[in-house]
Amino acid sequence: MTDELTRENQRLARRVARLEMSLTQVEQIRDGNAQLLNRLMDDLDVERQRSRDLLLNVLPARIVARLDEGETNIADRHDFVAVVMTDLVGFTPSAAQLTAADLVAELNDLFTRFDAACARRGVEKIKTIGDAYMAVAGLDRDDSTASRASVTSAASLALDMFEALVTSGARWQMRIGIHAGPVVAGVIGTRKFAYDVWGDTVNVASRLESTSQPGRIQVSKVVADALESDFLLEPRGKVDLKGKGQTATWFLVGHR
Amino acid sequence: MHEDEGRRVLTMAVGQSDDVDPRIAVAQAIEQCREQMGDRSPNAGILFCAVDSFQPVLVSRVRDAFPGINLIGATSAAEVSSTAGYLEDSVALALFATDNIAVGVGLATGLDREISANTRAALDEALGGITTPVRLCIVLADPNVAQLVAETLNSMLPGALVVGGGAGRNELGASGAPTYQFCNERIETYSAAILVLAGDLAVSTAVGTGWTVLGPSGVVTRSAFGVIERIDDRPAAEFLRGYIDVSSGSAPGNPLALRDPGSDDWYLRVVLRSDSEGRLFIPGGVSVGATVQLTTTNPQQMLAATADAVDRARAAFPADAVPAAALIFSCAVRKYLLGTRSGHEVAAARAGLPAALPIAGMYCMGEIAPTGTAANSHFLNETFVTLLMGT
Repeated sequence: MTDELTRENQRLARRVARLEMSLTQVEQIRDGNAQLLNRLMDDLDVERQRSRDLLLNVLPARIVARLDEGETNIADRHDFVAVVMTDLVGFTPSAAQLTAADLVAELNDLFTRFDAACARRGVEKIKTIGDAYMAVAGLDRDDSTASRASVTSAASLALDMFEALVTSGARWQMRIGIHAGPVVAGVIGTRKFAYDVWGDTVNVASRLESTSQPGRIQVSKVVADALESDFLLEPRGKVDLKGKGQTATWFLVGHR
Repeated sequence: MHEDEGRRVLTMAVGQSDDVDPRIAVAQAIEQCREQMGDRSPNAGILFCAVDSFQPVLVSRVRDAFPGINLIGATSAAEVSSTAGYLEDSVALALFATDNIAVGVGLATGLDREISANTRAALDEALGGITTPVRLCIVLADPNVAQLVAETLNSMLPGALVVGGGAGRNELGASGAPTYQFCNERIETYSAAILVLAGDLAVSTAVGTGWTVLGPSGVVTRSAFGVIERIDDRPAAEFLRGYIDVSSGSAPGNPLALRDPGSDDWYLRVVLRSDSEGRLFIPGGVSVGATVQLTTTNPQQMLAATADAVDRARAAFPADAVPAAALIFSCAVRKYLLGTRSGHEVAAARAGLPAALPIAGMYCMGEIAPTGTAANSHFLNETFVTLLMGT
């Protein structure tokens, strides 16, 4: 009986020693996993912010906020916004003369300056297509009293863009067209998001750009009316706009 | 089932005891084996012995009980069998009786000085008198040299399956505590015990891990055996900074996952420690160009991987043969991570294999087995290896 108790005591003592060793190992492993988890959570936060910054490069912040809240079909009607369309004159011939790297670097430099001007003027950059740049003022305003401010912002942006073209030393000239009116704005795509605007206002702005002249900003009557008190305008007369016929237009010359 | 005049070509008996007196434990294991063997005489055996229970006399007791037996063995971190399940501080004995399957044993010694030549000599010793092709080589090696021993055996035994593990001890990480390997009457440290089986033997093996690769990825840009010096052309320890701390010891719960260039197979390496130069010390080697990431796991994933390995080993077993024995080599770290569920690994093996199939095995300091589609065996960390044998 005594022998049996002695053996059982030995067995238990061995078991306790083993458990203590196991506990030490498990604590070490637990601490290691806790440290790893904390660091990975920090990494996750950094990545999340990086993803958000990337998304904010593509979509307006207010749209990102709506996507965050689970909204899926975003399409808004805006009664009055000002659309700015630009195009570089002579870009296609120069593309054949420059290396791809030089071409992209020069274009990137110019458009980066345009981006900065958009941010300064509170105008939304919508997209670039090749050497064309499109921006819209007023998408973040939904009260009709802000309509004149939108047009003013668009006009100031256009003037800034010409200044940027000069200071960048770019080899190209530029045409700009501005029109104002209603548009529909929304998000398309589920994997590659794109925020875009659609409507006749966009089409007219595009036609004003294409019928403008190198180094000049051609605007419609509604834009000219809104700018008249603060900007210098030069009547151009009637221009044949595709789909609109003979239409009176003005050149925006500068601030008064 | 293949029968030869009513006798199975391969029979394995297993015994296991955790009696506080190791001499009584080995006697009980021997007696259990005798009962299962009946009138058959074992010609080979493997003794797995907890390092705290190990005494040289245990080896003698087995040899005395079965004169002429080819016996290998090693100290272990825990022992398993179909007789007693999972036990710590125990003695587990697996005895083989074979007909038409030749067996041989050898012991490679002095591996802290010379590995390749001494391993070759031990294999020559084991192969003495064997004329049929070797099908299986079971190796129990000192964990510090297990990788190079396995590579030597791979090169010398093309077409044979090399499976085994690093002899166990209680401490994880870069412990200076010795492990023991034994072959017949010889007991050594820094050695490798080899058992070869040749002839009409069917075998299969599978490896399970259960680790999840996560975190940043890097590339090993300088390494030597046992050390990763640089990752992404920076001191290797910088890769781990903030994620796991190895400045004062090992990180067994978060081994590095490595994938050699051109390979799809991941393998694991425990970081034992770092030094002031930012080098990471590991058991075994790592190729320059290997992709490296961190890992983590949990008991559910580990046990799922264990069950999956058993299933894959069974599925890979030749359809025209019948399994007669299963050996298990699992990592000592796994038993700590599994905690009170450490016995579930052998339970998973029992659940996934034929009910009457005898099972024996050990928890090791590194495992040796082929992974993925590779023909050669590798030195692995933190894995569960199943070996099925039959005819």
